[in-house]
Amino acid sequence: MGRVHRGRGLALKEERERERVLALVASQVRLRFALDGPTFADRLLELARAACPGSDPPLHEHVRRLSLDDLYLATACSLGDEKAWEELAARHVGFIRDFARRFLGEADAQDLAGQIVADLWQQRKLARYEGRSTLRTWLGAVVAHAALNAVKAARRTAALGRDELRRGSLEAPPAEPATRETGSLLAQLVAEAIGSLPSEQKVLLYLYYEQRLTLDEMAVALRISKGGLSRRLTRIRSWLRTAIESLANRSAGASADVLREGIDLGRLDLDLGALLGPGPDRMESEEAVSKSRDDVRARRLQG
Amino acid sequence: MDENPHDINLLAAYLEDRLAEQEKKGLVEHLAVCPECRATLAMLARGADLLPRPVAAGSASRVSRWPLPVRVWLPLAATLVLAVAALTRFPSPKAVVPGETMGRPASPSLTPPASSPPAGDRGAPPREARVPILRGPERKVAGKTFHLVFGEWIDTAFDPAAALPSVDVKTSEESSALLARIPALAPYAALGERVRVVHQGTVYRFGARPPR
Repeated sequence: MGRVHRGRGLALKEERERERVLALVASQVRLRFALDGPTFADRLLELARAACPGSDPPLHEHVRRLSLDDLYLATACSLGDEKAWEELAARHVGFIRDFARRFLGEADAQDLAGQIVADLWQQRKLARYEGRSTLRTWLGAVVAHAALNAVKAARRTAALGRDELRRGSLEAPPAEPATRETGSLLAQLVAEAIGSLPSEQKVLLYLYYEQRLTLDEMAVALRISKGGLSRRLTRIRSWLRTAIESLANRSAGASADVLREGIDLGRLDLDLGALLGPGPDRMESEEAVSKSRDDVRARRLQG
Repeated sequence: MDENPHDINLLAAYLEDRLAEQEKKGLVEHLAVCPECRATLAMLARGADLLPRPVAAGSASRVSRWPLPVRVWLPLAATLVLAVAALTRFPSPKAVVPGETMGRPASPSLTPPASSPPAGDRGAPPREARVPILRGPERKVAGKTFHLVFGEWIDTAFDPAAALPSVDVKTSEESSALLARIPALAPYAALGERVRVVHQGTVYRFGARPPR
């Protein structure tokens, strides 16, 4: 008997959730394609159940936070609605191309944009959009990720070519043993020290040194003021210096001496840049910009 | 991110500051160990001027029935009440044309989220197409109204959803040639370095960014 009551209670609760989601759809979505409100509401409930398995927060609260109109457009597109595709093309294809141009040359950007649009259409990739951001930012992330893969693939091809060249010609002269030892010891100590940082500070450090973001760009991504970021980075650097010195003291005496002789820990800012970056995914086109940025940092440190 | 554990939905929501605290924490943990997601986030940050601004100042967990925090809406509401009281007590001698707006809120934070049209907006084009994300100053030139959006003067008649043909005018030579051909565009082009104007069914973008 109790089970029957619980079952009825659950069905009632689900019905109420559906009504609330339907009301949200009615108030926030312009139903302009073949996809109707109740079908879209069911899709929203499906997404909300996947995101909040324990119904905490209530499903309609999750739905309330979604970009519903964008999600309606994307869902209609993924169902193959031609009109929806026309709207998507008019609103976002230019952006996809412009955004790709930020990371790639004109021809590559055009190719990539074409490939992304084809994938969205043929493979129904738009169905992966969950409405948790605006569709534009999601598409930006899709473009950024695809550009990253394109650059990686190009780099792998170039590296293969370089290897063949190297095999056929003179090998690069090996580094001095002492330099090699110092470099690898420092890399080990830096990795160890960074490993003990909290995740948030690691991310700050990586975005600045590995990804070579400016403070302005980091401020956008992390929503922390430039001043706040600068203060945090200074604190992290200073903590790292101390941690590395103490780790060096604890390691074998000879290696620590080599480290102290070979590396000025006061220049840790630059050393971090060399050790963490260029990251494996850094764009070739940004190297010139980053170099000049490093020069400015070096001058600032010397000053 | 496709056939791997990286979640583009979360990354995009993080950039728009729409994650709940717990999700944000989880993503930061992931970013600390995932160079691929860090690189994607870095690229998004580099192209942030082409992306919508974060919807809310706070995280999604703080999103409530009220789109603005109390400290913002309470003084605004008070100001509005006073303004309405003043208007009803001392009506302006100039009659307001029906449908004409009474002015524009100065604060950009008042602009509603681009992707969530409020109730009553059904039947109108998508808000994202009509409402610039961040409105700056407004100027009226030769019968047209322009808003400064991210450093570009944009004609209020411009509607991305209309998908009108567009002409990019990147160099001063191109600009001179175009203005010689269509002199009516001159007052608009003089607004600033970057101007987007709709003229006879075509969008002209002066100072369009050259591809990098």
